[in-house]
Amino acid sequence: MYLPYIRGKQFELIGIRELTPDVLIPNKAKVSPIIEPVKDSSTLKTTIKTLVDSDINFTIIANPQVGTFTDIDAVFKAIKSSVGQSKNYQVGIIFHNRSNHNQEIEVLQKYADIVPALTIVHNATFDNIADILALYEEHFSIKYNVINLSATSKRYHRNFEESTRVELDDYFNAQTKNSDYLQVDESSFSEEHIYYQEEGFTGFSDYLSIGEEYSETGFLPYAVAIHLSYDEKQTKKIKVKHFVSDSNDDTSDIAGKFAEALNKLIAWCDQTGYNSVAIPIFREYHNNGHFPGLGTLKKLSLMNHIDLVLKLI
Amino acid sequence: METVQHLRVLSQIFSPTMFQKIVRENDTVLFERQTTKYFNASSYETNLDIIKSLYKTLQQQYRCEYVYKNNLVQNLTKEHSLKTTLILNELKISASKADLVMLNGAVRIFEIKTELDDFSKLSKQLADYQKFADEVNIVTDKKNADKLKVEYEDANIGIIVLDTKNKLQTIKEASSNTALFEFDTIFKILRKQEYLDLVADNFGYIPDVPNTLIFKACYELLACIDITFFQKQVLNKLKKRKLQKPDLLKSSNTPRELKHICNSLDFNEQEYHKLYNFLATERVCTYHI
Repeated sequence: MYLPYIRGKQFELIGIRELTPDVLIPNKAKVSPIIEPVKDSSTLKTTIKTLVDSDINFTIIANPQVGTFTDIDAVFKAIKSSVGQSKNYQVGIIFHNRSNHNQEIEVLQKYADIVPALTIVHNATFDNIADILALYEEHFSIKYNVINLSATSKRYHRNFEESTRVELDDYFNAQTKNSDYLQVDESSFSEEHIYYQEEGFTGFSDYLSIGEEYSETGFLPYAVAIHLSYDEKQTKKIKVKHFVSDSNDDTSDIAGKFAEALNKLIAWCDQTGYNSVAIPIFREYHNNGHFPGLGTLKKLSLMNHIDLVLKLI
Repeated sequence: METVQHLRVLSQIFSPTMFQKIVRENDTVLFERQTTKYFNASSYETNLDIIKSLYKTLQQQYRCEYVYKNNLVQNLTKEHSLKTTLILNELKISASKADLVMLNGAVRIFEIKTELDDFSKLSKQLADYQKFADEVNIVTDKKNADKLKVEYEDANIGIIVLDTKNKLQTIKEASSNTALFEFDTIFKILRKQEYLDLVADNFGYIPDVPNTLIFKACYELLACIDITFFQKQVLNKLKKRKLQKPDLLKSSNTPRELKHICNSLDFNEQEYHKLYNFLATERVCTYHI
């Protein structure tokens, strides 16, 4: 099972929606996106509705830790208005250092009719985690324990039932500046899709080719970078190729810089034969010389990544 | 006497961000907290009284960039008609950001270096501005001005002093930079719609190319125009980024202490009235927990 971890920003959500018919529906049995909403938006609601209507299982986080959507009642209101009669989803709770479990449980109980099951995202460790989970399980069933490997200890996953264990990590090799990717060229991503079951997990999760680091607003970059995940043929490992513009001296002509990066991406796809749901769209932009905006680049990077992972498992 | 740390915090009250909060987001919490904590606000009647007194304190004890900029904006708006003159705040020019750019028949740039500033970037900044501005001036205090006057003796850079009475005096006139104009720098100041307009004005058409190629196509076309003529066109184009309410900026209802903030935030009529209401608000002694 693959549980892509998605920040609910506009273009990430649109990416999920556009993946639904051709990628998510045929892979229903092995995908379950986790959405951490960061803003109360109509895109969030229509995305949830799309997943519900297509009967795709997903998790919607009720206590997001990034962004401006911090009122848990408002999050539940958004959930209520979009899930209809569906029970095929989980409400997610992030465990963090300041978690107040009694309070969380109280809120969950208030909305019990729209909490079919829980996903717990373990972003912190607790010595008495078994007792804490027991408190939640008095009222709710826990479908997934998503264990953030970078925030927990090596054997923390042993605290959870094997059938609920999901490993999460940020495999994206983030650089401070886009132009830094020029030197990097390509990065290792992960091999979890090969080993997760062997290592006692029922699923695996990642922050896609975007990374865990969250920023509210973009700024005008000096360079345009397109991050494209692909599978290394011999090893089956996932890697990320970085295609970067060359004229990176100032913030002018983002569209022209996109064209430079895109030329490299297309040349690489021609040479390697790599294809995914995003490549024909990139080719179209390449053919008509159109720059769709930086948000769309992120969307295509996300769509490519999820499509790739699902083909590999 | 306020301590330097307090003055630094208080000087941040005179910032576009602070008044953006107050006027556009109705958020006066930070203003109230800072003035109560560091300025004994309860001894004043209205917010205007606090601002006036605070500004006076800064003029006397902590001449931060705002004091310089505001004195300059006051002078420039007094001397020039806002019908023909526009003052832009923090305009990006090449790799630098010009503090104040005055546009009328010519481009005049004012780079402010207060007695609290670091001068290490100055020569690079001046070189960047000279690629676009007809005249470039440094505005600084007496002590630094004397030093800079020697340093830039043979250069066409102007030097203006904010004297101890907070009056501006030109001690060296700027002269023309026309020979240093550079197309690339000037072109990149323009927004997309602005360079499209200039191409249409000069050539009668806009190149029919996809958006990944439009920048280059316009760049190449406009590069053919005589550079001094092109600079003049850019000046006139930038002047169209005009103020919504120049009369209210000049009005005596807009306190002189806030002219720079009002100019750079470019308030509309409703926002000016919100500002006036805020200024007239009486300060009730409240304690924030």
